[in-house]
Amino acid sequence: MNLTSKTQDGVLVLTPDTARIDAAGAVYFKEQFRAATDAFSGRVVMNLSGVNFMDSSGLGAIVSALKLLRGRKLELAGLTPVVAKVFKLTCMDQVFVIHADMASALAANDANAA
Amino acid sequence: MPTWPAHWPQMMPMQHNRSVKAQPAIGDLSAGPPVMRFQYETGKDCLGTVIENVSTAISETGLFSKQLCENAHVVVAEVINNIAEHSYQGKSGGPIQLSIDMSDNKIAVEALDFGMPMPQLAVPCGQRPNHAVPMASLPEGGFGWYLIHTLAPKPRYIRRGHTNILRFVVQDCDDHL
Repeated sequence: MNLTSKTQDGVLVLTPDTARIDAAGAVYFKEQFRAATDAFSGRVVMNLSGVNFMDSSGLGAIVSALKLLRGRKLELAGLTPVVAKVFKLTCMDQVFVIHADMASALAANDANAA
Repeated sequence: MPTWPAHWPQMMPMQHNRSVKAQPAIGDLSAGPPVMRFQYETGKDCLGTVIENVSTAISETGLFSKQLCENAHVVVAEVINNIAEHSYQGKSGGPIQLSIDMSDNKIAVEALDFGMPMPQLAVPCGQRPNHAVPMASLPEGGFGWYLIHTLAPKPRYIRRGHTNILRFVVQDCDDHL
């Protein structure tokens, strides 16, 4: 599993190139997240619209990614139904900033800047 | 579907299921079709294969709501993860048998494995990890059993000989939360 990163409107957009975030990819995911975000101080949005399954280890990996930002927010966009369910049931939806999709995540940029 | 290697422990014959019937009824596997049975080995692609098989098997019946199907995916994935990680302690090649009984408009699941018993021969409790803590203390684990207990209340565990047997019925809704 790879985490592709690009900067769009000053926002770092990270996109896992996998349909499933689970125990198998959790450690590598964290390493890639660290590498991608280390030298970046702006908003970080993870585009999860291509991820249709996440288990508890995958959720743990996203939480550990959040901790790597040391107090900054990790924003998530485009949660598919199973992924949204896992976040909601564990109340982790209250820990992350969650956007319906990438368009609204990027639109939130203006609101933040204002 | 993988074939059951001769060197693996023998599967329970059907009589086993009938003998289980005498116990408090949950996931009665002798009730007749549609019961789907899958066999797996722990390893790299195990979870992906399970999710694909289970999701196809359940949705093909056309009997269940989208929500119930999703709940089944989540619970089965956590059960398989626990077997791989704890029962077989991360070793590859551990046999798992998954039976899914879809009669009576329910999704009842039995998962068998031949690894280590559960601690205290009991299903671990499923407290929700506390999210209302400073960021550095946020839980990164402990979600698995919580998800199982929430989406498949009162799972039953039996250790019979060298076999772990876990049975549960997947809950249709999660809006009691």
